[in-house]
Amino acid sequence: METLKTSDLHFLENNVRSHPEEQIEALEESIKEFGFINPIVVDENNKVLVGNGRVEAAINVGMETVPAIRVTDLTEDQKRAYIIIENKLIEAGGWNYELLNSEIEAIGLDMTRFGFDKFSGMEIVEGDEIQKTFKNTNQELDFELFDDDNFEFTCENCGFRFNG
Amino acid sequence: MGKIADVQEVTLTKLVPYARNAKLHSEEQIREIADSIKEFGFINPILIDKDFNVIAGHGRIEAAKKLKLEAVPCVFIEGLTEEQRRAFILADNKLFELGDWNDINLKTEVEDVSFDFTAFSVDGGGTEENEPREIACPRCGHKVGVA
Repeated sequence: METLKTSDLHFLENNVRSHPEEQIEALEESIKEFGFINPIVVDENNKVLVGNGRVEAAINVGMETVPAIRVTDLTEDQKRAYIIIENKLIEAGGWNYELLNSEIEAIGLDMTRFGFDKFSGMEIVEGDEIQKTFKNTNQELDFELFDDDNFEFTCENCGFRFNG
Repeated sequence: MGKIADVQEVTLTKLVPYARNAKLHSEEQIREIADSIKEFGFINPILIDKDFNVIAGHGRIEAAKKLKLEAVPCVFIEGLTEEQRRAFILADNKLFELGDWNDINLKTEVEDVSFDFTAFSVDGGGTEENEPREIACPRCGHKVGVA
Protein backbone atom coordinates (compact mmCIF):
# COMPACT_ATOMS: atom_id res chain seq x y z
CA MET A 1 0.00 0.00 0.00
CA GLU A 2 1.15 3.53 -0.69
CA THR A 3 0.30 7.01 0.49
CA LEU A 4 -0.31 9.23 -2.52
CA LYS A 5 -0.71 12.97 -2.86
CA THR A 6 -4.21 13.83 -3.99
CA SER A 7 -2.65 16.41 -6.34
CA ASP A 8 -0.81 13.59 -8.15
CA LEU A 9 -3.97 11.58 -8.81
CA HIS A 10 -5.91 11.52 -12.07
CA PHE A 11 -9.66 11.10 -12.03
CA LEU A 12 -11.25 8.67 -14.48
CA GLU A 13 -12.47 10.20 -17.68
CA ASN A 14 -15.87 8.91 -18.76
CA ASN A 15 -16.43 7.34 -15.35
CA VAL A 16 -19.18 4.71 -15.34
CA ARG A 17 -20.14 5.94 -11.87
CA SER A 18 -21.42 9.39 -11.08
CA HIS A 19 -21.13 11.05 -7.70
CA PRO A 20 -24.02 13.32 -6.76
CA GLU A 21 -23.38 16.16 -4.34
CA GLU A 22 -25.30 14.31 -1.63
CA GLN A 23 -22.89 11.39 -1.86
CA ILE A 24 -19.78 13.58 -1.80
CA GLU A 25 -21.07 15.36 1.31
CA ALA A 26 -21.78 12.03 3.05
CA LEU A 27 -18.30 10.81 2.08
CA GLU A 28 -16.84 13.98 3.63
CA GLU A 29 -18.75 13.24 6.84
CA SER A 30 -17.42 9.69 6.80
CA ILE A 31 -13.82 10.86 6.41
CA LYS A 32 -14.27 13.31 9.28
CA GLU A 33 -15.76 10.65 11.55
CA PHE A 34 -13.80 7.51 10.64
CA GLY A 35 -10.74 8.80 8.79
CA PHE A 36 -9.77 7.71 5.27
CA ILE A 37 -9.40 4.03 6.10
CA ASN A 38 -10.41 2.30 2.90
CA PRO A 39 -7.58 2.54 0.33
CA ILE A 40 -8.39 3.62 -3.21
CA VAL A 41 -7.15 1.61 -6.21
CA VAL A 42 -4.80 3.28 -8.71
CA ASP A 43 -2.89 2.09 -11.76
CA GLU A 44 0.78 2.67 -12.64
CA ASN A 45 -0.05 6.17 -13.92
CA ASN A 46 -1.85 7.28 -10.74
CA LYS A 47 -5.19 6.96 -12.46
CA VAL A 48 -7.88 6.30 -9.85
CA LEU A 49 -9.65 3.09 -10.87
CA VAL A 50 -11.80 2.80 -7.74
CA GLY A 51 -12.40 5.67 -5.32
CA ASN A 52 -12.98 8.74 -7.51
CA GLY A 53 -15.81 10.01 -5.29
CA ARG A 54 -13.79 9.41 -2.13
CA VAL A 55 -10.81 11.34 -3.51
CA GLU A 56 -13.09 14.23 -4.41
CA ALA A 57 -14.43 14.22 -0.83
CA ALA A 58 -10.89 13.96 0.60
CA ILE A 59 -9.80 17.02 -1.38
CA ASN A 60 -12.89 18.89 -0.18
CA VAL A 61 -12.01 18.27 3.46
CA GLY A 62 -8.43 19.34 2.86
CA MET A 63 -6.62 15.98 2.84
CA GLU A 64 -3.34 16.13 1.00
CA THR A 65 -2.70 12.39 0.84
CA VAL A 66 -4.80 9.23 0.64
CA PRO A 67 -3.94 5.53 1.06
CA ALA A 68 -3.86 3.61 -2.21
CA ILE A 69 -3.39 0.11 -3.57
CA ARG A 70 -1.55 0.10 -6.88
CA VAL A 71 -2.30 -2.46 -9.59
CA THR A 72 0.48 -2.90 -12.10
CA ASP A 73 -0.21 -6.17 -13.86
CA LEU A 74 -3.53 -5.56 -15.56
CA THR A 75 -3.97 -4.79 -19.25
CA GLU A 76 -5.92 -1.66 -20.24
CA ASP A 77 -8.94 -3.82 -21.08
CA GLN A 78 -8.70 -5.64 -17.75
CA LYS A 79 -8.55 -2.33 -15.89
CA ARG A 80 -11.62 -1.02 -17.66
CA ALA A 81 -13.46 -4.29 -17.01
CA TYR A 82 -12.31 -4.33 -13.36
CA ILE A 83 -13.77 -0.87 -12.75
CA ILE A 84 -17.18 -1.97 -14.00
CA ILE A 85 -17.21 -5.35 -12.27
CA GLU A 86 -15.88 -4.06 -8.95
CA ASN A 87 -18.63 -1.44 -8.83
CA LYS A 88 -21.31 -3.95 -9.87
CA LEU A 89 -20.18 -6.37 -7.17
CA ILE A 90 -20.20 -3.76 -4.41
CA GLU A 91 -23.71 -2.85 -5.49
CA ALA A 92 -24.98 -6.44 -5.68
CA GLY A 93 -25.61 -7.18 -1.99
CA GLY A 94 -28.90 -6.35 -0.35
CA TRP A 95 -29.64 -5.48 3.28
CA ASN A 96 -31.08 -7.38 6.18
CA TYR A 97 -33.27 -4.42 7.14
CA GLU A 98 -34.28 -5.80 10.50
CA LEU A 99 -30.64 -6.07 11.52
CA LEU A 100 -29.79 -2.77 9.85
CA ASN A 101 -32.41 -0.90 11.81
CA SER A 102 -31.53 -2.53 15.07
CA GLU A 103 -27.88 -1.56 14.47
CA ILE A 104 -28.76 2.01 13.52
CA GLU A 105 -30.85 2.29 16.67
CA ALA A 106 -28.12 0.85 18.86
CA ILE A 107 -25.31 2.98 17.44
CA GLY A 108 -25.08 6.35 19.15
CA LEU A 109 -23.99 8.22 16.04
CA ASP A 110 -26.19 10.22 13.73
CA MET A 111 -26.29 7.79 10.82
CA THR A 112 -28.17 10.21 8.56
CA ARG A 113 -24.79 11.89 8.05
CA PHE A 114 -23.77 8.84 6.03
CA GLY A 115 -26.87 8.62 3.91
CA PHE A 116 -29.12 6.49 6.10
CA ASP A 117 -32.69 7.56 6.15
CA LYS A 118 -34.02 7.76 9.67
CA PHE A 119 -37.06 5.92 8.37
CA SER A 120 -35.02 3.15 6.76
CA GLY A 121 -37.01 0.76 8.92
CA MET A 122 -39.96 1.42 6.64
CA GLU A 123 -38.50 -0.96 4.16
CA ILE A 124 -39.06 -4.06 6.29
CA VAL A 125 -42.41 -3.34 7.80
CA GLU A 126 -45.54 -4.87 6.38
CA GLY A 127 -48.22 -2.75 4.77
CA ASP A 128 -50.25 -2.45 7.95
CA GLU A 129 -47.19 -1.21 9.85
CA ILE A 130 -46.74 1.52 7.29
CA GLN A 131 -50.39 2.41 7.76
CA LYS A 132 -49.80 2.61 11.48
CA THR A 133 -46.79 4.83 11.06
CA PHE A 134 -48.62 7.30 8.88
CA LYS A 135 -52.01 6.98 10.55
CA ASN A 136 -53.74 10.26 11.19
CA THR A 137 -51.03 12.37 9.70
CA ASN A 138 -51.78 15.02 7.13
CA GLN A 139 -49.22 15.48 4.49
CA GLU A 140 -49.12 18.44 2.21
CA LEU A 141 -48.73 17.39 -1.39
CA ASP A 142 -46.44 19.16 -3.75
CA PHE A 143 -48.48 19.49 -6.93
CA GLU A 144 -45.38 19.99 -9.02
CA LEU A 145 -44.75 16.29 -8.47
CA PHE A 146 -47.78 15.63 -10.62
CA ASP A 147 -46.78 17.83 -13.53
CA ASP A 148 -46.73 16.15 -16.91
CA ASP A 149 -42.94 16.30 -16.94
CA ASN A 150 -42.77 14.08 -13.92
CA PHE A 151 -44.30 11.03 -15.55
CA GLU A 152 -42.13 8.49 -17.26
CA PHE A 153 -44.50 7.16 -19.91
CA THR A 154 -47.32 8.30 -22.13
CA CYS A 155 -49.71 5.65 -23.38
CA GLU A 156 -49.66 5.55 -27.17
CA ASN A 157 -53.26 4.45 -27.19
CA CYS A 158 -55.08 6.77 -24.78
CA GLY A 159 -52.49 9.43 -23.90
CA PHE A 160 -52.56 8.64 -20.16
CA ARG A 161 -49.34 9.59 -18.40
CA PHE A 162 -47.93 7.25 -15.79
CA ASN A 163 -44.86 5.79 -14.16
CA GLY A 164 -43.63 2.22 -14.68
CA MET B 1 -10.80 8.93 13.93
CA GLY B 2 -9.41 5.75 12.45
CA LYS B 3 -6.15 5.27 10.63
CA ILE B 4 -4.33 2.52 8.81
CA ALA B 5 -1.79 0.89 11.11
CA ASP B 6 -0.45 -1.92 8.99
CA VAL B 7 -1.04 -3.95 5.85
CA GLN B 8 -0.37 -7.64 5.72
CA GLU B 9 -1.56 -11.02 4.53
CA VAL B 10 -3.72 -12.65 7.20
CA THR B 11 -4.75 -16.30 7.38
CA LEU B 12 -8.45 -16.56 6.58
CA THR B 13 -9.23 -18.62 9.67
CA LYS B 14 -8.05 -15.77 11.92
CA LEU B 15 -10.62 -13.31 10.59
CA VAL B 16 -13.71 -12.75 12.71
CA PRO B 17 -16.79 -11.72 10.70
CA TYR B 18 -19.13 -9.23 12.33
CA ALA B 19 -21.99 -11.29 13.75
CA ARG B 20 -24.54 -8.55 13.20
CA ASN B 21 -23.53 -7.63 9.67
CA ALA B 22 -26.65 -6.23 8.02
CA LYS B 23 -25.26 -6.42 4.49
CA LEU B 24 -26.39 -9.52 2.61
CA HIS B 25 -24.30 -11.44 0.13
CA SER B 26 -26.10 -13.81 -2.21
CA GLU B 27 -24.53 -17.03 -3.47
CA GLU B 28 -24.44 -15.49 -6.93
CA GLN B 29 -22.60 -12.42 -5.66
CA ILE B 30 -20.02 -14.58 -3.83
CA ARG B 31 -19.47 -16.62 -6.99
CA GLU B 32 -18.97 -13.45 -9.03
CA ILE B 33 -16.57 -11.98 -6.47
CA ALA B 34 -14.62 -15.26 -6.68
CA ASP B 35 -14.54 -15.02 -10.49
CA SER B 36 -13.37 -11.44 -10.21
CA ILE B 37 -10.53 -12.44 -7.83
CA LYS B 38 -9.50 -15.16 -10.31
CA GLU B 39 -9.45 -12.67 -13.16
CA PHE B 40 -7.92 -9.59 -11.53
CA GLY B 41 -6.31 -10.85 -8.33
CA PHE B 42 -7.24 -9.93 -4.76
CA ILE B 43 -6.87 -6.17 -5.18
CA ASN B 44 -9.05 -4.54 -2.56
CA PRO B 45 -7.82 -5.47 0.94
CA ILE B 46 -10.06 -6.50 3.85
CA LEU B 47 -10.33 -3.96 6.66
CA ILE B 48 -9.89 -5.39 10.16
CA ASP B 49 -9.10 -4.16 13.66
CA LYS B 50 -6.22 -5.38 15.81
CA ASP B 51 -8.31 -8.30 17.07
CA PHE B 52 -9.03 -9.43 13.49
CA ASN B 53 -12.63 -8.26 13.63
CA VAL B 54 -13.77 -7.61 10.07
CA ILE B 55 -14.77 -4.02 9.31
CA ALA B 56 -15.20 -4.33 5.54
CA GLY B 57 -14.96 -7.27 3.16
CA HIS B 58 -17.36 -9.95 4.39
CA GLY B 59 -18.36 -10.96 0.86
CA ARG B 60 -14.75 -11.08 -0.32
CA ILE B 61 -13.83 -13.35 2.59
CA GLU B 62 -16.58 -15.78 1.58
CA ALA B 63 -15.30 -15.69 -1.99
CA ALA B 64 -11.73 -16.32 -0.79
CA LYS B 65 -12.97 -19.37 1.13
CA LYS B 66 -14.68 -20.63 -2.01
CA LEU B 67 -11.38 -20.27 -3.86
CA LYS B 68 -9.63 -22.07 -1.00
CA LEU B 69 -7.20 -19.20 -0.47
CA GLU B 70 -5.23 -19.50 2.74
CA ALA B 71 -4.58 -15.83 3.35
CA VAL B 72 -5.88 -12.50 2.09
CA PRO B 73 -4.42 -8.98 2.13
CA CYS B 74 -5.70 -7.05 5.13
CA VAL B 75 -5.44 -3.49 6.36
CA PHE B 76 -5.30 -3.11 10.13
CA ILE B 77 -7.31 -0.11 11.30
CA GLU B 78 -6.64 1.51 14.65
CA GLY B 79 -8.28 4.37 16.48
CA LEU B 80 -11.95 3.53 15.92
CA THR B 81 -14.19 3.18 18.95
CA GLU B 82 -16.46 0.13 19.09
CA GLU B 83 -19.34 2.37 18.10
CA GLN B 84 -17.46 3.87 15.15
CA ARG B 85 -16.50 0.41 13.97
CA ARG B 86 -20.13 -0.71 13.96
CA ALA B 87 -21.16 2.51 12.23
CA PHE B 88 -18.48 2.25 9.55
CA ILE B 89 -19.49 -1.34 8.67
CA LEU B 90 -22.88 0.06 7.68
CA ALA B 91 -21.74 3.42 6.32
CA ASP B 92 -19.12 1.93 3.99
CA ASN B 93 -21.85 0.08 2.13
CA LYS B 94 -24.39 2.87 2.25
CA LEU B 95 -22.02 5.54 0.94
CA PHE B 96 -21.54 3.53 -2.24
CA GLU B 97 -25.29 3.31 -2.74
CA LEU B 98 -25.58 7.09 -2.77
CA GLY B 99 -23.76 7.10 -6.10
CA ASP B 100 -25.35 6.44 -9.48
CA TRP B 101 -24.39 4.77 -12.71
CA ASN B 102 -23.60 6.93 -15.69
CA ASP B 103 -25.54 4.70 -18.08
CA ILE B 104 -24.10 6.28 -21.21
CA ASN B 105 -20.50 5.77 -20.11
CA LEU B 106 -21.30 2.29 -18.84
CA LYS B 107 -22.85 1.22 -22.13
CA THR B 108 -19.93 2.64 -24.11
CA GLU B 109 -17.38 0.93 -21.87
CA VAL B 110 -19.07 -2.48 -21.95
CA GLU B 111 -19.30 -2.31 -25.74
CA ASP B 112 -15.77 -0.95 -26.18
CA VAL B 113 -13.79 -3.09 -23.79
CA SER B 114 -12.41 -6.31 -25.15
CA PHE B 115 -13.49 -8.46 -22.20
CA ASP B 116 -15.94 -11.30 -21.71
CA PHE B 117 -18.47 -10.06 -19.16
CA THR B 118 -20.71 -13.15 -19.36
CA ALA B 119 -19.60 -14.53 -15.97
CA PHE B 120 -20.68 -11.29 -14.34
CA SER B 121 -24.03 -9.57 -14.00
CA VAL B 122 -23.06 -6.75 -16.31
CA ASP B 123 -25.45 -5.90 -19.09
CA GLY B 124 -24.23 -2.51 -20.17
CA GLY B 125 -27.65 -1.08 -19.51
CA GLY B 126 -26.97 0.13 -16.00
CA THR B 127 -29.23 -1.22 -13.33
CA GLU B 128 -31.72 -4.00 -13.83
CA GLU B 129 -34.57 -1.54 -14.06
CA ASN B 130 -33.21 -0.55 -17.44
CA GLU B 131 -33.64 -3.98 -18.97
CA PRO B 132 -36.20 -4.08 -21.74
CA ARG B 133 -39.62 -5.02 -20.48
CA GLU B 134 -43.25 -4.61 -21.36
CA ILE B 135 -45.62 -2.48 -19.36
CA ALA B 136 -49.34 -1.95 -19.62
CA CYS B 137 -51.06 1.42 -19.43
CA PRO B 138 -52.91 1.48 -16.07
CA ARG B 139 -55.93 3.16 -17.69
CA CYS B 140 -56.56 1.32 -20.97
CA GLY B 141 -54.28 -1.70 -20.68
CA HIS B 142 -52.46 -0.94 -23.95
CA LYS B 143 -49.08 -2.71 -23.83
CA VAL B 144 -45.86 -1.03 -24.76
CA GLY B 145 -42.24 -2.21 -24.70
CA VAL B 146 -39.92 0.08 -22.77
CA ALA B 147 -36.14 0.19 -22.81
